[in-house]
Amino acid sequence: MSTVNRKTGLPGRFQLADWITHHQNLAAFLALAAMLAILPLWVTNNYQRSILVFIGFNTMLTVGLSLLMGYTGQISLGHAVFFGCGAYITGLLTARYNWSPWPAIVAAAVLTGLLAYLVGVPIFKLRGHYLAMATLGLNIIFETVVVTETGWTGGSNGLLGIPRLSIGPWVLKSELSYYYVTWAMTLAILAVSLNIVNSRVGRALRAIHASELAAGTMGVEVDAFKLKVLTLSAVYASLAGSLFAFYLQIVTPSSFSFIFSIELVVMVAVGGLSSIWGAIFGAASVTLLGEALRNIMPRLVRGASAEAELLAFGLILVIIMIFMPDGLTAGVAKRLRARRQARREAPGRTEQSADAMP
Amino acid sequence: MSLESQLLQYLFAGLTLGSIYALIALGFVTIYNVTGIVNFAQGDFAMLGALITVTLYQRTGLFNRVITVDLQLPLPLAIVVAVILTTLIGVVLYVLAIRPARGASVISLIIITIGLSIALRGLGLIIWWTDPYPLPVFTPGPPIEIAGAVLTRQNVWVIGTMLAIVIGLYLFFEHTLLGKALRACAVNRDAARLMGIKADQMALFSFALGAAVSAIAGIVITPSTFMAYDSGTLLSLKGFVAAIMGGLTNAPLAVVGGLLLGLVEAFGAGLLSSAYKDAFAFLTMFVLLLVWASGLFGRRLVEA
Amino acid sequence: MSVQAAVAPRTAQKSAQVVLEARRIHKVFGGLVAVNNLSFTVYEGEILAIIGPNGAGKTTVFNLLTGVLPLDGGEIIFRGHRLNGLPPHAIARLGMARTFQNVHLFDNMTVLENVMVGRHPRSRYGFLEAALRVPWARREEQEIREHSTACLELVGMADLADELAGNLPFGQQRLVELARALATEPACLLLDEPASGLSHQEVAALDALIRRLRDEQGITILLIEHDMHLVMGIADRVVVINYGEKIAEGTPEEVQADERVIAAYLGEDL
Repeated sequence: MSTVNRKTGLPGRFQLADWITHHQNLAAFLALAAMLAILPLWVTNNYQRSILVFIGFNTMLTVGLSLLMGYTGQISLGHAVFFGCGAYITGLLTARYNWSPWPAIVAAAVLTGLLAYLVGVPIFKLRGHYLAMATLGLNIIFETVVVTETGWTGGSNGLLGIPRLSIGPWVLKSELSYYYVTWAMTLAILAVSLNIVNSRVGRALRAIHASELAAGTMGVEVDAFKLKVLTLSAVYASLAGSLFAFYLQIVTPSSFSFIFSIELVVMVAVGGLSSIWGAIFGAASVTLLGEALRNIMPRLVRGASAEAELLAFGLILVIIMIFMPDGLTAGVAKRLRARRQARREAPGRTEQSADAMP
Repeated sequence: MSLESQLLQYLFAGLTLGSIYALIALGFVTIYNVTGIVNFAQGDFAMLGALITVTLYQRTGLFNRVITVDLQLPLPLAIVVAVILTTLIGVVLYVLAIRPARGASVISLIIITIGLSIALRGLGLIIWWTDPYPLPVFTPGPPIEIAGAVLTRQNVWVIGTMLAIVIGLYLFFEHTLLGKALRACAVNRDAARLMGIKADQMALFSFALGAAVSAIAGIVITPSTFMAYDSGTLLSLKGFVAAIMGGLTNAPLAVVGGLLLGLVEAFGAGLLSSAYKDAFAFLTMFVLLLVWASGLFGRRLVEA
Repeated sequence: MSVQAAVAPRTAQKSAQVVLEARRIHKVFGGLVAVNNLSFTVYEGEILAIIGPNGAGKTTVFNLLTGVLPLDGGEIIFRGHRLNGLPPHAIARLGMARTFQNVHLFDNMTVLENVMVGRHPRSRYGFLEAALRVPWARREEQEIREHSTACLELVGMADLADELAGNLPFGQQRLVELARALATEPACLLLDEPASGLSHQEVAALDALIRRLRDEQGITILLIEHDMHLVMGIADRVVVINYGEKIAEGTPEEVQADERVIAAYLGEDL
């Protein structure tokens, strides 16, 4: 993100509006960062702060999945695997081998990225339904392994004894400290991702999505780019998983089921498959909705468990994909624009393309 | 038990499981051929069929025992009604969710049917809670003993039902006008339309047929394995793995695929590790997909 | 700025440099021979048309040349490189670009972004540099944008740069696709039925544009086309194929007089 207005050389007071239109992404990013910095002044209760932390985790995951699925068009129904790898590797290294937190985070990211790369080589020979099913199968294999290999993972009881995250001598204990660390990492991921999508690389990814054939003949290294974007999104997921492990101090298999992978797809779909900003919106709204359902469902249906939110998620997914395949925000914006345009241009507008069609 | 009878036992278990996978796979293939859609909710129809049968047959508390249904229909009647209801649900889902999305991209359609699948799973949870439900065996009696291995009567029902449905579908597709129209859609949708076949009706019918076959599969397996709200997902996945063997389009190969998958699972669980039973199914899938994607069937596979 | 800096000016004599050579290339689709031991040579700076009845295997030849389909036999030599087994992106980097019969634009991107993808093989900054926005990545991005705009100006589409490509009428989409191919700085440009679906005026403009590309930029052009008026006016040489085999080769006048060509096109207007 460039910080200097190319036209004026400096962001002067009178050019503020002009500067914002030229740097929409940077302006939005700074606004978001500022808002996040002061948000805890209003959100003081620990429960609410913990929801904000989870929105942060989900945003990291969703931004990566959006790069992979929305921008590059490669479906993944197993993204929870990379989240789980990050969490388990971090947990194992710190709880069993007494690593300090930050080297463990880095090691988890490297190993998870490597795993994603190795899985990607064969799996990207597949497309469409087959890719969807293979990634889902991967998630189920992962679940089976972590439940079964109790010696390593603690099985269904979970991996216990994970220490708190610390920065130098400062050990993070409060919700607030995890809030800031999580969102600092999320913002870093966001900045990196925004830079990538608005670049040669981002164009290549979107080109692959639109037509692998045309992208290849235009010189885009299709296979290599798919692998790299998968690896990158896996690293994001691993970072989220690491923080998740330190935050909860316990890692259980149920957090990484394929249902969670699908929940991530819901978040991406709500935000609009190919939109980094949409990914945040999707992560926030679906996390909040899930939390609300978890509170409401038991009241509607006596004793209904949290998992009943599945019904709502499934319906949201179907409705959005049918009526707003570009996501909730884009869908609403498009409809509004279309209505406005229809009103403005109602009297007989000739189609530009009429004479050029064969 | 001797090793031979042990192996024979795994064979019976594998054929029984495999018959169920074969039936679910047939549902996948039927719908895919006619509409080009992979319906990930296929296994959830099995769950619905079974749980509706349970509800009609025995006193069942629904919505966490807020409502109690006490119809106690005779089992055959309960089964017929449940299959009809599940078929109707299949039709309704087609009309509400698949038809409006006609022409959507593959990725959207995948997400839609996945969405349907988890919506049905959530619905199942709300209605039937997390309990696994049994059904009584269809014909009680001592199991059949062959060379020291036992084949329960319900297993015979499962395998027999599979064979009956395979033969029935074969006759239907080969010898009835409707079956031929469906096949015409599978070969070429545009040409079929020119011949006066309404593609939309055929698509609707394929969903009905797919739902009915899955429901029957779910019902016949429930006496031996129980059924819960979340059983559908694994059935979907394994049915899909079986369907892959036929390239998603070839029904006889899909049946063979289902049986093979059942055998892999039964022998894998028996001889190697029962905890990794499901993982074997997916490892088989990976191997198949990757061998095929890089080999003879490659182009067809990757372009689907 | 020069759009075609990388390519040497074309030599005056036709006999000069061989740019592309197909040697007994062969392709079979499930028992059906689509391209049958076909050989031809393309010289630098010429416009070579490949014609033939529908289903003769012309587009398959393009797919083989650009690495979209693997060869079943024979070899392809392009500017001294053997192309057999190379992926499409490597062939693009060597200086081969193409358009598609039924237009494959990136519909989800603007016109300018489409053309900017064409700069991909002539730029190199990757994930890391993009993520960190290092200065030289920004400089390269600037070059990509300027060069792409120049390519759009060349085909007369610069004022629609910010339109979504998918929203353009068909004729303009063809031009955008051409600009995208030009952005790769091709030594050899493969045009697959560029005139189909265009109006008379648009075909005339296309004719002039193709000549300009060859004359001013020295781009060698390989053309599949059904519009015989365009082909006979513009091509230096014509290769005629039928059932994947070459049945004639020569100047437009020569092939028009060829009896096998007339037989192959029986009932069609030459």
